[in-house]
Amino acid sequence: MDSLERVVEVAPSLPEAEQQSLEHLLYVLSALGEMAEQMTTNPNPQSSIRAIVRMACGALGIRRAALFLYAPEEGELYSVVGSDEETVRLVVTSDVRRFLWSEGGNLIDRENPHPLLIEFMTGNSELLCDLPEATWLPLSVTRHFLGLLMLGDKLSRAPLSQTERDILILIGRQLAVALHNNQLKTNLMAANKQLGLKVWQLEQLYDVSRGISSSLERDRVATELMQRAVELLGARKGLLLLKDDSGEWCEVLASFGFSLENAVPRDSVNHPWLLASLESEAPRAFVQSELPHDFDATWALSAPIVYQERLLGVLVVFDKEAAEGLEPFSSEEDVPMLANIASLAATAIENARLYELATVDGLTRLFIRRHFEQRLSEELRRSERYGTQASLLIMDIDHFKRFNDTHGHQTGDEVLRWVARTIRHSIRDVDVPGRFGGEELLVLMPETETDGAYIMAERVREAIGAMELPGPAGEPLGVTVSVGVATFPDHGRDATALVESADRALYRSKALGRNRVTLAE
Amino acid sequence: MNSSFAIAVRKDPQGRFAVVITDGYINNLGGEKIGEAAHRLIAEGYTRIIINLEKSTVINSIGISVLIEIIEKMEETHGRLAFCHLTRTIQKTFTMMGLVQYASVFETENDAVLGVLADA
Repeated sequence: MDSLERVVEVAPSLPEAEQQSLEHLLYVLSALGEMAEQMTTNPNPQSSIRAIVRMACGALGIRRAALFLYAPEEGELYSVVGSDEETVRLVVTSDVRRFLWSEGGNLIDRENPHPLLIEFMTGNSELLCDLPEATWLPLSVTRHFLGLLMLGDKLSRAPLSQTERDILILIGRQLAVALHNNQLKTNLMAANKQLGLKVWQLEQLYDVSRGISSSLERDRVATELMQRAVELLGARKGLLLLKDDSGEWCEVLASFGFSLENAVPRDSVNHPWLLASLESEAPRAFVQSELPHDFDATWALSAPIVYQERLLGVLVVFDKEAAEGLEPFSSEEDVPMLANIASLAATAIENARLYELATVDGLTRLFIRRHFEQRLSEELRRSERYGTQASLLIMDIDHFKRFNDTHGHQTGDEVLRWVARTIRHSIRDVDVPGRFGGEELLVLMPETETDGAYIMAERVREAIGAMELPGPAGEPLGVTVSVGVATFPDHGRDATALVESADRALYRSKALGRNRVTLAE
Repeated sequence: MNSSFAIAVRKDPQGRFAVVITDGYINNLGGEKIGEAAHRLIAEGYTRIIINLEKSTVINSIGISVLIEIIEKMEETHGRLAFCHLTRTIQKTFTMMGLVQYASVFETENDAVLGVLADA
């Protein structure tokens, strides 16, 4: 307002009426300058817009004002300034919107209202009676209708002069630019947030994909997937269930946070929540009442694992951890993330299945001869290069022919399956189990000397001897194995020589009465 | 422009009037504080309010809009608003915006008190 002082100084000779008019214009100019400052310096768009509306009232001496913004999706104008209590919503038809847009930047003639304005006023008559009604100014920029500024009377109740009307139109343009900038900024921030989220998701999925591509073993792939899903979604628990070929039951391929491996019984495919998960084409959320009581979970999110339109299973995470307790999984972030992990899971599990088909014996789930021989040759080359030892166990099921002859081939197969499973459970992760055909089974033990191999062979033999395998009539079947042990390079400097040495040791075990371990000479 | 703003409210022990004393530039912040103080006094039942602007030499358009709001509120309650200790610039602005037609202007706070009590 220092400018007013200056007017008095520089224009003392002007007639009083002109001096007052000049002072008023300088006052308004100063207010316009403050509005521009608001637009450029206030970081909060809402408070900036509120301040500009108040400045407009202060600049023209107007008693009250209300500002409504247009929401295209809802087809309504909603109040952002001037309504102290609840947000007021005015219905705007597309014709009215077009009319207000075409009038953007001009004061609306309320004396001789356009028919569409009458339609607008009639449709919102109850709400409009509490709103300022002296002057209405639609706000728009280029092709966008942004809102409506409603102004009440001047303090003096006198009508706006032509100069004041021109100033008001100028203020309306400033306000429209501020609103448009605010809208652009809001859209940009939302797009940035969305983009940031997508980048983060892609980074995480890349990590998951790298993790699972390092192995072709189904169990390891499943465990990796399960852990990453739980970690990325901030869940407490997780299950990766795979349907069997018959589709009658699901196998727990990997679990996280469940105390028991058999948390999901074999017939659980019939449980409504699992059925719903499997039948859903997209991720599905569950609440506590829909989940089995034993799960002790409040929320769940499942995603079907589908490979080329074939349903393989389902990936489920439970209980998203929040700062205080648990919270439901979000549809914006968690649903697409789990869907993407399930999609990666489908390819990885299918690849592992194909690899297994090519390398694993269907009956015993031990490696087939060709794959075993390849692993044996690789391991011996590695041992030679690093000067380490590697041992080989060859075992034969004692009197296996008798099982077949007495109880039938089915029982023979069952015996083989049980023995193979006991071997798998008795050896270390680094050991490689294989089947050479018939009832001859092998274990390659990398970096293992003869003494260590002998101890391991004894452990396997004892475990098999302790098995309680029921026969066809329920009677217990006693199963024993004879084992031969040979170590590289002491008992053979290549794969063929090592296998022959272990084989000779095995025959000595047989010759000495079976159910024993014999070292190669 | 220094944006610090302070406000003090003095109430007549007999509850006949209240004085809002401002200190600083009356812009967004200052206007908001004056508005809050005046609305609180009106809610408490005060119908005679004096705004002492001795320590405020500048007011902007937001400040004017807040004072117009207070005038409107006082009209609704049939109350009386008075200003005192106006600088020449503020006096000129109030005259230009028509505030002086709806609120009394006095030289001093004492004059304002006597003025608002005159028609009691």
